[in-house]
Amino acid sequence: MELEQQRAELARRGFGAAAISYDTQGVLRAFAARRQISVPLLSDPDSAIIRAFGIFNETTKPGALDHGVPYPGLFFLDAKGRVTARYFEERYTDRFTISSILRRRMGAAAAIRAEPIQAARLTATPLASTAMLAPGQRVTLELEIAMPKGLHVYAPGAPADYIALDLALDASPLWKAHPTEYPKSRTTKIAREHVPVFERTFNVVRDVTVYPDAKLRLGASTSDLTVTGKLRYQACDRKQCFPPETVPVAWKLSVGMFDRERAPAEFRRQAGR
Amino acid sequence: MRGLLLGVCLAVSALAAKPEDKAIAVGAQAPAFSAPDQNGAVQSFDTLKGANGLVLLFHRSADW
Repeated sequence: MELEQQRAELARRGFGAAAISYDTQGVLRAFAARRQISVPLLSDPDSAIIRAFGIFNETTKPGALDHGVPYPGLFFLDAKGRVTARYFEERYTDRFTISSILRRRMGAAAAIRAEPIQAARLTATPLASTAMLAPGQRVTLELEIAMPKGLHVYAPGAPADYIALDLALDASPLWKAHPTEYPKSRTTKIAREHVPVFERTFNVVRDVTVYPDAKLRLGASTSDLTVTGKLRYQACDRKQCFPPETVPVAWKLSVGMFDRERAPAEFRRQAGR
Repeated sequence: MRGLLLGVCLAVSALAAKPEDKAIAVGAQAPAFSAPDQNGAVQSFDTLKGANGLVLLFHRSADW
């Protein structure tokens, strides 16, 4: 459970952590013992808290095993109990990771910082918010780009005849790539046109959700998951533009399996309750 | 026929409903809650929060 792994990091930032589900206390006790979980797991068997937060999944049928579950999600509350952020995924199998949110919202250090890729007129260092993903989890990938002073690359939004920096991730049956997020660019005047550019150091960010069946597709022999893509750019200085470059980039991650073990039968929720 | 069409429309709109539409909004006060944890201790916002607040995860089930 990722919340357990990130509990200390959240505590360092002054945040408590807890999880809520419709499970009975017996199920939660068995789960916590089996997985060595110390984060408080709150039992809401009548879904009263789930309803109060407005996330009762009304598409489930009364009498079905899943009747009473929430739309899975995360709330950040401030010290007075006000909602400061909330995160939901479109599909119930997909989930945000605390590590990604900590990286994005609170500037936590990246879990992976790979060797810088030395390319023409820039270096690109792959960063990832987590090294180990469970199926369906979302990771924040970044390229930390550093350029010598006096050089720039064109940013998205540049006129069509400029080659703007572009981070393309390869299509894969293992992951879904979310849109690329670019930092704020600076506008410079080139030949009477206003052109957005990036310079010095900046991060290009892209989230990836690992498909729930990624581990099965990889096979039993490996957990290694390498997300691959290409960085395209054209660097220029005040006097000239250099040839366009396309550089292969990669993030080495690993992906685990679902935990399929269940609680002892006497604690299990009975469908139709 | 019109009833069928209405039914289809309702079904489609139900599928399109997003949790964001009904969930407690950003900026709003979260509802008070208390519930037993895995050890039987009754927990609430006040017992769980840190100096800066609380991260609350709602999940489907710890069992299936």
